[in-house]
Amino acid sequence: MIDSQSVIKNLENRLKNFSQDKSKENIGIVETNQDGVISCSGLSQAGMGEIVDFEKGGNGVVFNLDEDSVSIILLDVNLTIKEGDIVKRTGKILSIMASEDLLGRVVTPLGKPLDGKANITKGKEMPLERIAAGVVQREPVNTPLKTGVKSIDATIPIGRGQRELIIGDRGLGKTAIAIDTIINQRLFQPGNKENKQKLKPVICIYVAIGQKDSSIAQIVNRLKEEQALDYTIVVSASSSAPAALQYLAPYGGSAIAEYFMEKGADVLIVYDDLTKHAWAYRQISLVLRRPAGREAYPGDIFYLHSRLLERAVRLNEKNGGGSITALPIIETQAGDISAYIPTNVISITDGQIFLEANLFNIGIRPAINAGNSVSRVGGSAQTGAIKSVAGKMRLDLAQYRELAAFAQFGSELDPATQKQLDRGQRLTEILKQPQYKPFSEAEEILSIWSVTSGNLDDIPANTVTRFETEFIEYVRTHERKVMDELSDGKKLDEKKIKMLDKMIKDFKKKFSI
Amino acid sequence: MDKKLIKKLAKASYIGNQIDEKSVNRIVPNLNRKQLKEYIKALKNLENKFTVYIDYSNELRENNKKEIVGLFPNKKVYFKKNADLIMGIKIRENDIVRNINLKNSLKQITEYFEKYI
Ligand SMILES: Nc1ncnc2c1ncn2[C@@H]1O[C@H](COP(=O)(O)OP(=O)(O)OP(=O)(O)O)[C@@H](O)[C@H]1O
Ligand SMILES: [Mg+2]
Repeated sequence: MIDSQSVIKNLENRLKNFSQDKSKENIGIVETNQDGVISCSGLSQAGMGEIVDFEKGGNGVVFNLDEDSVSIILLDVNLTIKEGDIVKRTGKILSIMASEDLLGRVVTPLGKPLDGKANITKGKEMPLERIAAGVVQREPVNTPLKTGVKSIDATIPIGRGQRELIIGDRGLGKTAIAIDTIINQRLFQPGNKENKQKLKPVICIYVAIGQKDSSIAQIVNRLKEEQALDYTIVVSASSSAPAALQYLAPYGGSAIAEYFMEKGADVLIVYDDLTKHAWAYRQISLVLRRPAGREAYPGDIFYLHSRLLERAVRLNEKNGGGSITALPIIETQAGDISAYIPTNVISITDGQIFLEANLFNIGIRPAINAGNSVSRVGGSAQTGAIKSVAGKMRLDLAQYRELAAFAQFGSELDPATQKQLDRGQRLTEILKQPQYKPFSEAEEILSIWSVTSGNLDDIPANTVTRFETEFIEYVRTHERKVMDELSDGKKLDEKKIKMLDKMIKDFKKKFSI
Repeated sequence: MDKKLIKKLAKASYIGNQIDEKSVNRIVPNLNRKQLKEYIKALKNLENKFTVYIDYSNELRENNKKEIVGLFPNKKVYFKKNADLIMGIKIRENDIVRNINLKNSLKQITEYFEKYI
């Protein structure tokens, strides 16, 4: 239903725009155009971050204010701007038109379509830069954001409103984790019967910064194939986009996220990746001749990311109860998490998922290093059900890691130690998970429980993966009810465990090694 | 000599809103090429501050012109005919432009239609 009040308000706004005094203009004259930075005289009334229009077409944004000149960075690749050209103030700050029409679309950080479909004309203008919600408006993280990745949901749980960093070298599956998480939100879309815990739907925003156009196209296609694009918005500033747009991309994504959050929705936003974002900002700062600091980054590089990630928040009921969960991605060199940008972002976020090349290469994928990965707030959002299996698993894994180091010496092992090693091996196997195959909570519990309960100790480690697939398939087809019961989020009690025990014993009789 | 000093020199080269040739001649021999460039820039800036450009579409009557000049005390006012405006005038005062003409109104109407309709 259209709210008649909002219609009237809209009309009034138009009237205001129309009658505004547009006869007075503040202009500037281009003096130099160096490396995409335009210096002009005049524009004495322009403000920082304001959009300016070039009379020849194209626009830019004010990045530096000097005593008698301003520096402007171009927002589109316009190479024809020359000395003497005229620039006009617009009085507008950077903003993006946000509305439900954006769902399923691919847009630039300023909302221009990149998918060849219609312009987004209706909606609310959301400013790109905004101060994050204050302390009184917030609430602690208390609802899970299910990634569908077993090892994350069990050991590094993420809550709605949390900021969890995904960090690792090139090509270790950072994007894969983020995309799987987006795909997994399919489960919580309206009308899905498997959503037994009645979790709110999640709107996803994928911000691609400085990536190849081909990779972005692949991701969009994948999302479409998995029916995930309907609730996803892709904000893209590829490597061919001007540095200014790459710099603005995460803020554009954030502005869209805030639009939905204000309506009470839960939003997931992925920044892929903030290393390239920092590069774009470094490039801009260097051409503006701002003083360079460590690794040639400007002094305010920390603020660049802290003000962005601070906008991920869980609002309390009084403020609509919406949330923004952020999954920033950082690329490291040779696993060095103590470099400048990685340490910065680690200190800002509420935990990190650390991917390691060694693990990836020996086939442990997702290549999550459990020792260096943490989630500082997500634990309180975990359901009782998954908590009850994850606790045991964490213990088993920790013991395994300790013993594995000793076992390398090849000395005689007593049976108890050997048993723990075997258990650990099977756990490692069960935590492997292919791409684009997110697990529901019930499936996660089934797989992890089957190992921690000791039921797989007599199954060879190399058949564990096959066992898992076939077992889940078996439960899905023959024990639908059990699946439903496991989905309710409640702690595993005696009764449930007995039932599971019987079921897995039955299945093992049928399973051929 | 830094930029600030050169700006000061440029200011000192003016008497009221008129450039003082004598001071200019005294200053210039003491400047090197780079400083001279800076000095010229500063003078141009000042000159802009002291000048108002008026474009008009149809011949203005003398008393109208006088009235306009009266609006800008201490400034030099230059008039120029510009048929592009269709009707009305355009005033440029340093970096502020006022468009009180039909061309601008038509432009605004087109923009409005493009944006909202
Ligand atoms: N769980 C997985 N199982 C098997 N293969 C995987 C898994 N996750 C990722 N891969 C593969 O690893 C490769 C790299 O993945 P991805 O592109 O996600 O890594 P990335 O860290 O984002 O890389 P980049 O640094 O280039 O952005 C891809 O070929 C992907 O198919
Ligand atoms: Mg990637």
